[in-house]
Order: sequence, then C-alpha cells, then structure tokens
Amino acid sequence: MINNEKLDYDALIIGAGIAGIQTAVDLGNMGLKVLMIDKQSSIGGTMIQLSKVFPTLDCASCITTPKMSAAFNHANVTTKTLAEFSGFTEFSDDTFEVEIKQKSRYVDIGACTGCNECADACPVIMLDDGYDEGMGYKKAIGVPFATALPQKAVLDIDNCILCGRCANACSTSAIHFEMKDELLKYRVGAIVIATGFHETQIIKERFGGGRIKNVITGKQMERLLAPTGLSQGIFRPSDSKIPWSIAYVQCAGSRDASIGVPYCSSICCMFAIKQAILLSAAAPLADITIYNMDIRAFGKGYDEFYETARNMGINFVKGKVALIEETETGSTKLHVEVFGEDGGKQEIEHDLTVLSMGVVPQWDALMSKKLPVSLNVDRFVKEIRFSSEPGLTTIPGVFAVGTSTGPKDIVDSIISGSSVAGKVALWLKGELRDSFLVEEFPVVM
Amino acid sequence: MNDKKLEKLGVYVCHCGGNISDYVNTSKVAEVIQQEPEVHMAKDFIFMCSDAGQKMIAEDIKANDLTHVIVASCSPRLHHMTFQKVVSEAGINPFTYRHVNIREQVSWVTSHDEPAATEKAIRLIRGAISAVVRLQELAAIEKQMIQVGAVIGGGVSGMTAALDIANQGLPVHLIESSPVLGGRTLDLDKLYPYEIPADKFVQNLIKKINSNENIYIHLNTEVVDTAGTIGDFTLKLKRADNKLVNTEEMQSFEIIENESDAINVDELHVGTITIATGFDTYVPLDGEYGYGKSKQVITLPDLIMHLNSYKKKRLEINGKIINKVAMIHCVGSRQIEDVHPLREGATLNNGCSRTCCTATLQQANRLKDMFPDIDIYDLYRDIRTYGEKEVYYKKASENNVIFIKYPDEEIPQVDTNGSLKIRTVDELTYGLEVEVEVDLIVLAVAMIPRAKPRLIETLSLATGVNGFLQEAHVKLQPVESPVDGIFYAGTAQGPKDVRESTMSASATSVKASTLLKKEIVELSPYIAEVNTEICDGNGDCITQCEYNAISIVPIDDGKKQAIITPALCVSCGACVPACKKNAIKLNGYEITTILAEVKAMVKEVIL
Ligand SMILES: Cc1cc2nc3c(=O)[nH]c(=O)nc-3n(C[C@H](O)[C@H](O)[C@H](O)COP(=O)(O)OP(=O)(O)OC[C@H]3O[C@@H](n4cnc5c(N)ncnc54)[C@H](O)[C@@H]3O)c2cc1C
Ligand SMILES: Cc1cc2nc3c(=O)[nH]c(=O)nc-3n(C[C@H](O)[C@H](O)[C@H](O)COP(=O)(O)OP(=O)(O)OC[C@H]3O[C@@H](n4cnc5c(N)ncnc54)[C@H](O)[C@@H]3O)c2cc1C
Ligand code: SF4
Ligand code: SF4
Repeated sequence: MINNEKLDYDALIIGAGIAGIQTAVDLGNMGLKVLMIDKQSSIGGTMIQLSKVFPTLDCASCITTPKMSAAFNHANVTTKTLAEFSGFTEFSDDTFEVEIKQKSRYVDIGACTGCNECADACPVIMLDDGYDEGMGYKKAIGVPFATALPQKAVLDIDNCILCGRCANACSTSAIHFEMKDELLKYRVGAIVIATGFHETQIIKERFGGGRIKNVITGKQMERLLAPTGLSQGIFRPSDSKIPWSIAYVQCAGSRDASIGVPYCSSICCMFAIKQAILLSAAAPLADITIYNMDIRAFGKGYDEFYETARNMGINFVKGKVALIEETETGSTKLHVEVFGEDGGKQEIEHDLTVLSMGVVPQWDALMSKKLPVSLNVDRFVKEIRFSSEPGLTTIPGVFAVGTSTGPKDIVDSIISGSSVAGKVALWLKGELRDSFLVEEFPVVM
Repeated sequence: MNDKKLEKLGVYVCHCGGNISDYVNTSKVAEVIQQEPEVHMAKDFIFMCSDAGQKMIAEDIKANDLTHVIVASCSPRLHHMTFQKVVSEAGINPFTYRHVNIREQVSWVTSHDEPAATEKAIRLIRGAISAVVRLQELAAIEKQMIQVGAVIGGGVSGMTAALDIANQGLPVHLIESSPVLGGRTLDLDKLYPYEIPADKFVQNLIKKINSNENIYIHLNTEVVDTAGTIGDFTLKLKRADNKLVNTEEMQSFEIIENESDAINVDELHVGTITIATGFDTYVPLDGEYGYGKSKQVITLPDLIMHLNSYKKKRLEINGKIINKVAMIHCVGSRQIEDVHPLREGATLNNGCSRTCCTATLQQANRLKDMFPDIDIYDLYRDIRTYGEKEVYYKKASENNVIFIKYPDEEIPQVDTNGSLKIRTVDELTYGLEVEVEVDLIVLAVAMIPRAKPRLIETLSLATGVNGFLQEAHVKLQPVESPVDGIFYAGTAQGPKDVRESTMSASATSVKASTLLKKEIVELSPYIAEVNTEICDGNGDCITQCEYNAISIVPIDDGKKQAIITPALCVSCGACVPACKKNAIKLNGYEITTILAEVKAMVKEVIL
C-alpha cells in the first residue's frame, strides 16, 4: 500500500491531450489528486486543433472544450502548462519524486485577464507554426488561441523585440520580461505518460521534401477547415487561390520502413475522408481525389462514412503516387501508378495536394532518458501486458495512454485514458505490482 | 404559476464556431431576445461550452444576480448537463435551467435561408422562456445506492470488467449463459498481434477470477427479466440446469433471495450493470461463395479450430489433401445493396468487422509455416491491418501469399461443380480476369451482433450501427449506454480485438466503480407526479406504464390512490393522457407549460 500522506499528488499525468484529460477526469472523479502537465501553453493536444471529427462530424471544439474545462476546473486536478517532465527519483515505497521544468510564460497567470490587449499592441507578426500549423499568423504575445485553456497570454521570448508596448498596454501589469524558468519537485504515487503523437516529420524527397508550396499536410488542412482558423474558406498557400482540384496522398508518412514508420497510422484514411467531405461542403465545385492502396475504415460506423464520401462523388483511386512535381503555375503534378481497369502509369495535375502523414510518438529518445520505459519496435511506449491489461509500461507505477502507445483515433484514446485510470487507482491501493512483473508476451515479432 | 419568481433571466446564444452562426444570425437572435420582457440580458458567443463561455455565464450570474439561464446551442444530449452544472455551481437550481437546440433543429436543417433560420431560433428560445417562467424549484431525488455490480457475459470483456470492479473492493456478479467462462476467445489459437496463446490468456483470467472473493460467478445462467434504475436494478436469473457447476477451475456461488424459488430463479439487486455479451460470427447463406454446396468451403473460425490440434505433415480437410487455398475477405461485412446476397428479413451489414483482415493473414502465415508448399490466394477489397498489425501483411507478402484485389461491386464467383474454382477480376493487374482452381476456400466471416437478448429491451437500451449496442455518445462516451448506470464492455458494442475489448472493459469498470462507491445516487426530478387531491385510484395509468413505476395503494376510508416510484419512472409521459381526471403531470413538461411554449412560439417575429 502506498503511503498517501507523503504524496503531493496521487498521480502525475504527462501530456494533456484528450487521452491525458480523460485519465485526469476519471482519476479525479475517483477522489484521487492529480497533477496534469503539458509542455504547450494550452491543454487540449491535437484534438483542439481539429476542424470536425469523423465519423460524427461534430465540431472538434464543441466536444473538446467541455472536456478541457472539466479537467481544468476539476477540484482534484491541478493543471500546469508550459511544464515539461525533466526527471524522477524512485523510492522503495513505490513512490516517485518528479522534477518538472516550469518554463516561464513571462505573464503572471494570476493577473492576466485574457483580454488580449497585449497582442493588439505587439508589433511582431509571425507565422503561427504551432496551433495554426503555419496556416495562420500570431503575435509575439497573446492568448494562444480562442479556445485555449488557460485563457492567459503567453510571450514568445525568442521572437520578442523587447519593445515593451505590450507591458504598457496591459491594464493589470501582468507582463514580466524578467520572469525565470523554475524547477518544481513533487512526490507522486504514479506517473501516466500521455504525450501523444505528431505527424511524421520527414516529407519524402519524392513528394517534394517540403519545398513545394501547394503540398500541405493533413494537419495543415485541418487548420484551413477549422472554424477557429484564421482563413475564411479554403485557399492554397502559393497564391491564396481556391483550389478546384485537390489530391490526397495516403500513407505518405506510414507503411514505409525506409522512413522508420513501417506500421499503419490507423487514422489517416479516416481523416482524409473526413476532410474530403468537409471540402465538398466548403468548395462544392472542387474535384477531390484520394489516392490510396487500401482504405482502412475499420472503426464502428467508419465504412459507412467512407460510403457516404463515395456517394458524394469523392474519387477514390487505387494507386501508388511515385512522385510529385511543381508545375509552372504552382500546381502539383502527381505521377501515379493507377490500379484497376484502364490503369497504368499516369500523370495527373491537381491545384493542391494534401499528404496524409503518419502518426509518430512524441515520446522520444530524450524523454526515455528522463524516464527509461522500454519502447516497442515501432518506438511507441511498450506495454508489457498489451492484451490483458493495456497501459502498463516496463516500470512499475508508470502507465501510458492514448497515442503514446500506438496510433489511435479519439474514441480509442478516450477508452484507453479511462481504462488506465482504473489501473492507476489499483496501483495506488498497492495491488498491481504482480502484473508489472510478468511480461505477457515474451517474444516481440 | 408565479411569474414574479422569474426575476432575472439570462439567455446565451452560441455560434458553435460557425456551425450555427454561418446559417443563423446569432447576434440578431440575441438582440431580439433581449427585447423580451422576461429577459434581463441576452448575449451571443463563439463557443458557449468552452471554458470562456462557461465562465461568462457563471460571472454574469454572480454580477447580475441572474435567477434563470437559457442556453441556445447544440443538442441537449451533448451539453444540457454541461450547462446545468455551470448554473448549479454558480448557485442556481440546476432544474430551472433550459436548453434550446438551435443547431440540429435549426442551423443544420435550415441551412439555406438565413432569415427563416434566425426566426426559427428566436421562436424556439421564446418557447423556452415561457417554459422557464413556469418551472418549479425542483430538487434532485436521492436514492440509496446498492453497492454491488453486475456483469453480464463472461468472455474476456466480461471477465476483465468483473475483475476490475472486484479489485476496487466491490462485490460483483458475473453472469454467463454458457457452462464456461472465456467466450469466443476459447476458440482461437494465438492472439495477434503478439501471438499470445489464447487458452493461456483465458486460463489466466479465470484463475484471477476464481481467487477473487468479491466475484460471484453464475454459469449456465441467463437474465430473464430486469427492472429498476441506476443504484437499484433488479435482475431475474434463470439457470439452464439447477445443478451448479463446481469444478476446481470454476466455482459458482448461489445467491438466493427467495427460498421458495431456489430451484432455478434467483433475483439479484445491483447498483450498476455492465453488458459484455459479445458477438456472433456470420453464417454464410446457402451457396454464398459455395458455402453449403461444397464441403471444401469453410469459415475462418472453422479453419482455426481445425488447425488447433492438427499434427499431420500435410493439410487434409474433409478427406481432401489441400495444396491450394483461397481466402476471401469481408464475407458478411461491408455489404452493398444488390451486390451481396441477403438472408430474408436481414438488414444489410455495411460495416467492417475490424478483426478479420488481420486474423485471415495470421492464419495464412500459419498455414505457410505449417505447410510451406501450400499456395494461398488472398481475395480482398482493402487490407485493414491497421497499426502494428501491418506486420502480418508484410509477412504474408514475404511468404508469397498471392494477393488479388477484387472490385467492391464485383464479388468473386465460386464454381462448385466439379473441381472448386474461383473467378474474379484483379485490380492489381489492371482489371485482369483470373480463374484459379483451389482445394479449399476459407471465408473471413463477419463479427455480427448477438441475437438481441431480452434484457436489451427490458432495460430500454437501443441498438445502433449494424445492430450493435448504441453508446451514449459515439466519440465522448463510448462505453456508457444512454441509460445511467449501464455500461458496454467489449464486442457487444462493436467489433474489437482482445486488447480493444479488455481496454473497453476496464474503462466501464472505472465508471461503474466510481458510481458504486457513492452511497447516494441523485435522480432527475423531471418525473411524473400524482395530484393526490384529484386521483381516485381507478388505475387507468397503470397499464400504460411500461416500467412498472405506478402502483395503486389503499388510503384512508377504503379509498385508493396511484403512487409513482420515482426511481422507476423514466419520464416518458405515457401515463399523463391515460388519466381521464388529469391527475398526473410530468414535472417540467406540464400541459400548461407546453401550451404556453406553443403560444410563445407562434407569436409574430419582427426581425
Ligand atoms: C490531421 C488529423 C486529423 C484527425 N482527425 C480525427 C478525427 O476526425 N477523429 C478522430 O477520432 N481522430 C482524429 N485524429 C486523431 C486524433 O487527433 C488523436 O486520436 C488524438 O488527438 C490523440 O490524443 P492524445 O491525447 O493521445 O495525443 P495528443 O493530442 O498528441 O496530446 C498529447 C499532449 O501531450 C503533450 N506533450 C507531449 N510531450 C510532452 C512532454 N514531454 N511533456 C509535457 N507534455 C507533453 C503535447 O503537448 C500534447 O498536448 C486526427 C489526427 C490528425 C493528425
Ligand atoms: C476468426 C476470429 C479470429 C480472431 N482472432 C483474434 C486474435 O488473434 N487476436 C485478438 O486480439 N482478437 C481476435 N479476435 C477477436 C476476439 O475473438 C474478440 O475480441 C473477443 O472474443 C471478444 O470478447 P468478448 O468478451 O467481447 O465477447 P465473446 O468472446 O463473444 O464473449 C461473450 C460472452 O458472453 C456470453 N453471453 C452472450 N449472451 C449472453 C447473455 N444474454 N447472458 C449471459 N451471457 C451471455 C457468451 O456466452 C460469451 O461467453 C478474433 C475474432 C474472430 C472472429
Ligand atoms: S457544442 Fe454546443 S455549446 Fe459548444 S460550441 Fe457547439 S453549439 Fe455551442
Ligand atoms: S477487417 Fe478486412 S475482412 Fe474484415 S470486414 Fe474489414 S475489410 Fe473486410
């Protein structure tokens, strides 16, 4: 039994995407005290960046913000943003002392009212390559985005020119340029890794290596489609024209050992279909073609969603895209090996091409140094009892949820978050030690 | 009713980030509503449900002493509770809160005519205002929680769900209709993706269950009837035989409420129910891909079981040596109208069964490992080896499994006259027609819902996509049923592999045990109520109530009266019109309230 009196928090959750949030809320509801940290300035992870979600087409903000709020305002949950896990010490009584680097926000969170006057005053305008994935602009200071939580300004010190205009504009004197990073230490009973994923970061050379302007990624398209995005309507980056013909290249960052992603990312077929449906509404006259080898619509109601897309006239072409070139007008020319009748090698032009990039873990080698859980062959956090008790890592007392253990859509991330909350509660009662000690599968394929 | 009680009403109109405001002029709505005499303040905002939106309401309540709040946004199924909580935390009785749906009922359906949509939104909000004026100050009904759980179905999902509840220190009944625990996993060989022996996996779970004192196992037992609501469900059990299985591996405990019924009917009282009744496999139609016409056409589960204890060097099935095998995907899944044959009365299953692609390729590789000389043709539409399961696809390719991709709308033809032949079009070779002669055809049959057990009806649960149990919210509440206190674990909710099943089972137990640990449950006060001054106990209402919530009891002077058990009433309102004396009303939805709402809605709108 873990001695709870010594603990500052029963559990630390690293990462506040939908999976971490779900774990936090469930643990909080069970009466356990949780510290949830995220390295970004707002909680919500990837889900708060999305436009709408498959297969219900609920607006992502509508279903994410209440969850964010439920965790953030939960009496048993303490949230820290701009906070990174930086190390731990394990004690013989199965508890951990964790170190957290609290990066400076340069804004006093207690004083800031979220009025955003600072952003209006700031003269520095730059591409927002975080929340807006480079599809929008931001100032060097301001509330990160409309649905951010906490609704507090954050200063980007790397791009700040220290002109002081924001500080003058702030009516509560919340801005402090001299604010320092802090190292925080807490004693916790369990650690939950919920660090999620990012898109495959290498754009293959044959797809332009990231140099073709009108070749964008799935996440960038989400930002173009999102109601919270800067743009109204769909445009292509090179000349802001409406794209009348849009191509999707499936498996652009997955199922390819040469880029270190041999596995299938599970979600990209579905998000491509979803985006195509949304595009059909946003630009009704646009032609949309999804080049794929297999459409993996395997979840409940997902094949039906695929069928809807086909009935809407979205083209699904079985084929392999070998090469993408930029044309003189800035359009994209795809060299495709098309399967099926009348197939063969073809060159097809589209105004805009979206690469359905894959899912790779954010938990990287550096993090593994700070908390040495084993990783599986695909470099996701390894679960030692994969099928019987999902979520247990190779370190007793350390758990993992959501996409940190493998690609998952939102539903599966939520289920994983909830299920692990129960395991954490058991561990805190001193009951799960045996499970951590017996590996379920001795051989890894 | 007392109109004066409504001192200060705040109305909030949500843009839903464009979902509403692109079709409804939301600021106009707020402006017009602001003019209503009952309204103290009306505002519109991009996302009412966001933290900022919720804070805005809470702050307005405090700063302006608002007494009532209406939010006009999405469906109440999504956010009625969200806002009820906001007003409650700000000190307003949550049962005076009203929610208006101007998304599903307005912007999404009236998306072509902004003035009309705007007008409609105004009318709906006016209706709500007139209802709010009439709302009584109701309080939640409190009920004792029976701190015992029940899990129905003893496959890997049910066993995991029961274990997790029991490990939280709560007693739980595990009810399984067959004589053994384990479900369909018992029929498998090794579990993908890590090739864990299925029998060991199941035995391990059973061992844990048997050594857990909090779990009461009922084998050979079916739930024949149910009643009650969250906190106090009654389950009537019937055992197929009255001999209790009591071997060393499996114990069974007898819980007998009523001695005289001890033969084979027990009654359990539990606080929560987890449904883990699993799935069935599709049985192909007679003649579908030659099934039933040739003994050499079998299903994937048949093949797995056949190989499980197979020792010979060459593969022999039904007396025939097998050198060439064809495996056909999506049998009974992903059905297309007029393309796939349907059983009479059956509905089209247009869903994917999720597990069969990987399971098929797993068996293809197993065949190649056991009998290296065998030729395998794999006829598919899409290979869905998602996630880490892609290794099975890769390995099958390395094993020289021959993949043939048939078009969605042109299913392979099987000829059983003479030798067994398959004819199909192959998209991978640009539409070439191929014909192969094989010795065996294996059909990757669908995971389908079990025949609807009676308890689904008696518990008022619904089935949704392709007949699987319908969850409360597809994205956010995947393991919760629409009925409070009832949860769905594993494949009863939809196709899943073992990991996904145990994960969902553990998730249900987090929800169930959190509830079971409470001593008191709070129920909605929006239920039917009898006016004791008018009721003469004639009982017309009783037959209308499907939930046995009404009883007639004798009162003084030999008179009778109807009484409603709050915990059983689901507020369906069926009893209201049954009473000729109008002695029953539905709280919050009284006839007078509804008439007033209608009146307010038809009032002219000037934009
Ligand atoms: C383009 C696109 C569209 C999608 N559309 C859909 C859809 O329509 N429907 C659907 O179901 N799914 C969709 N998905 C999938 C969905 O986004 C994921 O299932 C979900 O976001 C996973 O949640 P998560 O919590 O596991 O991870 P994340 O959302 O990635 O959250 C992880 C969090 O951890 C934080 N973090 C990471 N490392 C650290 C660290 N070291 N210290 C502190 N914090 C850290 C991150 O900042 C982040 O906030 C889509 C994905 C993409 C890429
Ligand atoms: C061909 C095939 C191969 C597969 N291979 C794999 C694999 O390699 N790896 C993997 O992870 N998954 C695999 N799966 C999936 C796996 O079989 C399921 O995930 C798993 O069996 C689901 O367990 P469950 O408990 O949800 O349902 P079930 O196994 O169906 O168990 C349900 C239980 O409930 C009982 N029950 C039903 N109705 C009632 C009632 N009314 N009252 C009381 N009890 C009731 C049943 O008797 C049964 O014991 C495969 C599936 C198939 C079809
Ligand atoms: S979900 Fe509802 S409350 Fe939230 S933004 Fe959408 S409409 Fe508004
Ligand atoms: S998993 Fe594969 S075989 Fe099964 S229904 Fe889906 S696509 Fe067809």
